[in-house]
Amino acid sequence: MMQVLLFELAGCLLALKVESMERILAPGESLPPQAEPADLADLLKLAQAPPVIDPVQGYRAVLAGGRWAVRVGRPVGTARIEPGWILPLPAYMFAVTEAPFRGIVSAPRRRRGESGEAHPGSDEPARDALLLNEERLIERLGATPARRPGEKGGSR
Amino acid sequence: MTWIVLTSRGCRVALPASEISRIVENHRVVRVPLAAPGVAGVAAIEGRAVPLYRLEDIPVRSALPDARAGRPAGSAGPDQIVVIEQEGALAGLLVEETSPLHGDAGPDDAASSARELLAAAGVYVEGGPDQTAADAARGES
Repeated sequence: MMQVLLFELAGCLLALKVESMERILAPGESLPPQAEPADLADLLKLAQAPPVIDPVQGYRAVLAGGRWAVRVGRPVGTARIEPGWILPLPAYMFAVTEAPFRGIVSAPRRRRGESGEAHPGSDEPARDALLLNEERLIERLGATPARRPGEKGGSR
Repeated sequence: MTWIVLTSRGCRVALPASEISRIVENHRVVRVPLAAPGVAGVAAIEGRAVPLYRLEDIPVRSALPDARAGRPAGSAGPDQIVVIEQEGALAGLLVEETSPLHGDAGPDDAASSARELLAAAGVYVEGGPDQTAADAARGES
């Protein structure tokens, strides 16, 4: 089983393996000194998508290796999935080569009480999320400009 | 011979029932970033990720305009996904309605085929020198 973090970004439900992240930064939290900021919505060309209703979209994931702190949108939870549950996406459906996705996963979700605690055995219908390929993601980040205007970042 | 007539937003196409893998209703559609033109999303259907295309957006030669087909503008979106496959090239057509039709010939001139629709969507290239989507799907060079 692998654990993934689910997050909503510009109308899409995405997932990223927890083991591919060093940490999650809350909105306003300072970036580690060695980390460069990046925006996943820009990388995936989601900039023109309708905005997510929830305005809290400032979370960043510091990817393994610590070089990139990627704004990932609004976390909505975690899920445990089997590798065999990942449905690969055919390459011909993408406009780019080596799209940064491993496939679709159906992430079960649990009903939560007012305290935010999960209630075992009270699963709601699964949601389908796009599981990111962190290796290809890092390759794409390395191919983009190192710093974006107006972004806060640590010194290099 | 049984045909399945697909209608969506003023567009009507008929396919032989034997060329349709399955029809599913009210299925979850996942929006996909970086998708090729014409790809409306993807759906997980019976253990496979199926790229989705809106029927009315596919430039298929035999599609007929039909003012009576589909729902009025502004109404709810497609309700059904018609899954077709040809030599490993897989696609789901987003449509509003499907209906059976019995007869040797398709309705009017709206008769088409899975191969024609997949080619029109850009998923399947008929005998082209370039790698076809089917080859790509099989992982062949």
